[in-house]
Amino acid sequence: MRRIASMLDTRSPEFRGNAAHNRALAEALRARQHEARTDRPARDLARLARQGKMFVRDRIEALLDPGTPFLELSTLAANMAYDGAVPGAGQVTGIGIVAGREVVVHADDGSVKGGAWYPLSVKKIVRALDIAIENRLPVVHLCDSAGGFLPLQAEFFADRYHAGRIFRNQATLSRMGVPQVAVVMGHCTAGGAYVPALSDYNVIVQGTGAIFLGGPPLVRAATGEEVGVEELGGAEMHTSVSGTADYRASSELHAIALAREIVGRFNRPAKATVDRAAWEAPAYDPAELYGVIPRDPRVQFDMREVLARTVDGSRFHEYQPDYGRTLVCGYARVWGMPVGIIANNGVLFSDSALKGTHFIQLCDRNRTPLVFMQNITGFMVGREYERGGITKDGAKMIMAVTGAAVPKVTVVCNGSYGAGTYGMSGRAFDPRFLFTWPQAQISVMGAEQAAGVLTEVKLRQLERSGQTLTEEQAAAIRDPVLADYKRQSSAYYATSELWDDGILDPPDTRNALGVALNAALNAPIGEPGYGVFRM
Amino acid sequence: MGPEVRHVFELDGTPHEVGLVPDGAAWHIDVAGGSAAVSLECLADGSCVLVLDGARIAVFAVVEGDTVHVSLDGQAYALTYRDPVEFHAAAAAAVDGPEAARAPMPGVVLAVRVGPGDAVRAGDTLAVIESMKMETAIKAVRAGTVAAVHVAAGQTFERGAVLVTLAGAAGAAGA
Repeated sequence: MRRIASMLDTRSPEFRGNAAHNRALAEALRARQHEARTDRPARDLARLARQGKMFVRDRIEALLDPGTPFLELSTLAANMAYDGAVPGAGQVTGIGIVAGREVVVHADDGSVKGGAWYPLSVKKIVRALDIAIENRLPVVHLCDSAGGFLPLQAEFFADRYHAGRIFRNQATLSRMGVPQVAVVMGHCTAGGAYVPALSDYNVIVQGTGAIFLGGPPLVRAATGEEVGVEELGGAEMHTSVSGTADYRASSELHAIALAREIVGRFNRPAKATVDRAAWEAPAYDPAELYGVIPRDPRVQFDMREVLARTVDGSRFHEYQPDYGRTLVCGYARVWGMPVGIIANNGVLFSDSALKGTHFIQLCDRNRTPLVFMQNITGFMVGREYERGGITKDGAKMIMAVTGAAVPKVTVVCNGSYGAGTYGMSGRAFDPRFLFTWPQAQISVMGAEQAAGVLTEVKLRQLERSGQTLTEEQAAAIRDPVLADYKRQSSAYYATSELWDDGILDPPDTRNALGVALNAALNAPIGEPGYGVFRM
Repeated sequence: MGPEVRHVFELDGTPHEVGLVPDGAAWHIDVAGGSAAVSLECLADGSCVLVLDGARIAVFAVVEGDTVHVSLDGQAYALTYRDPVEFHAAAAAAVDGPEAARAPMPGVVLAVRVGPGDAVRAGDTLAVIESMKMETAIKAVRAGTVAAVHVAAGQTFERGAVLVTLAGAAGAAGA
């Protein structure tokens, strides 16, 4: 396959300016990730030490096979919620290797509010288990949670994707024959008690681990019964009397060793077969991506320059290079696995949408996973384009994206706006994974346009009652909208709300795709099937 | 290189079509004028033994990108791998290269960066346009000389409009 010939001058002032800008963004990202992973109030760390508990990062380190990759997901979940007081939403999730098996790791972070579940914690756990279901990955739960954060219970308890979904997903995994092991390293109270109970295997740590539907204070309030933690739900009782727990461990490290032994005897189902080839590093340094992405997000860039720094050997077989040029489609490999790439090089026209639709069906038929690289302002508007059927052609693309049975992975590289977000396999279209770059903007339309529309609406209302707006009054309407819009369309907001699986430092994209695609191939690829394409 | 067996190599600038079929650790090579079994045994210092139909020949080889510099019998050779699609496309483009930079979408010209007679390299920005809130640089797809600029800053245009035309043979200035 041919190599992409980069047209970029890496010594140009433009490239250097972009590189400085994007490196600063990457450094800010790393700093925030580091903070979310490790910065904790001294009193919380002191409490863990007093209880004889390990920090969640050390537990995961001890669990994973040494020297293997760990793709952490949604590290910055909740970074813009709860006044920033719940880093990572109090949860660590990711895909790692345990005893040679790819697994989803889900760990409560006891150093954040005692591991209490906030609404976004629940969303993060549900998402991790959705990933396990979609990709048939076994799960290791490291349980250490104070229970649901009661003041916000209305936001995480009763609805379809609230806490009940965690247990529904666990039961679903078990029914699918995808095993789970839970390690009880703290209290698992109320709903949390079902995490080990619904796991096929569980290990409980003597002294610190406990499982009960109601803890001692609740029991006292409910029935007046006085009972201690150990007697009510400790390791000895559950492993010898109730049968709720399977293995008793004398320490956390003992428990983790048991969990590793359990995972080590899980079956290894055959992966979906794709035409794998030897790995090849990109011919262009992925670090040059910093210079590729324009510092002004409104400036268009050639996605081939991104692909040249992402895919194996920078090799890309472009499909229909002269048709629908604003959508770049073609075949490449990542970590030796074949992928069909769909990448935006401008606004979507009818021809670009038709090309994308056709290419999605090709990849679906030849069993090639799809990678969407988004930088999309939307579909073209205007009389000529409506008459040409731009809406029905966009609908075809959405039909194809929805129907494709091959794994899809989406990377939001820059803009992601309006129907373009949908046609390019946005979150609602169940890509197996969706990652965002630090400068990405995601919203129904651009901030300036939205603020303009809202100001216009207000202006019309006032005109009807015979009033006018001064420039100051217009600014007073526009500016707060603009500020809110900008905040809520940032990558940090998207990742805070779990609209993605995490923000990537762009040069890491290749490796994230490698782990994601490898994980995705654990599930068999279904047969192609589509709804009705409006012709 | 993948599983393809039909290749183009340039030996000191002259292209040769070569068939290469893996045969265990060795290769079966097909060139105009004959075929042979070949293999190469190399040490870290670049000294190699070329085995050609059983005959052992000492060579010295250094790989640099797609080119391997070979020293054989005191002679130096540069052997360059050419992708067959690119090789044949380049041959065709020399007579029939794209001449015009066209508008990928309707919009307005923000700036024109070149004038008639300017020499441009592949990748140079010819003009900057704005459409659907995005700025797009219109770049030269090949090296050449600007024959004409058909738009000016502030001017609107339809999709497919010719913005800049290039003169001069494609590949003449080396892309």
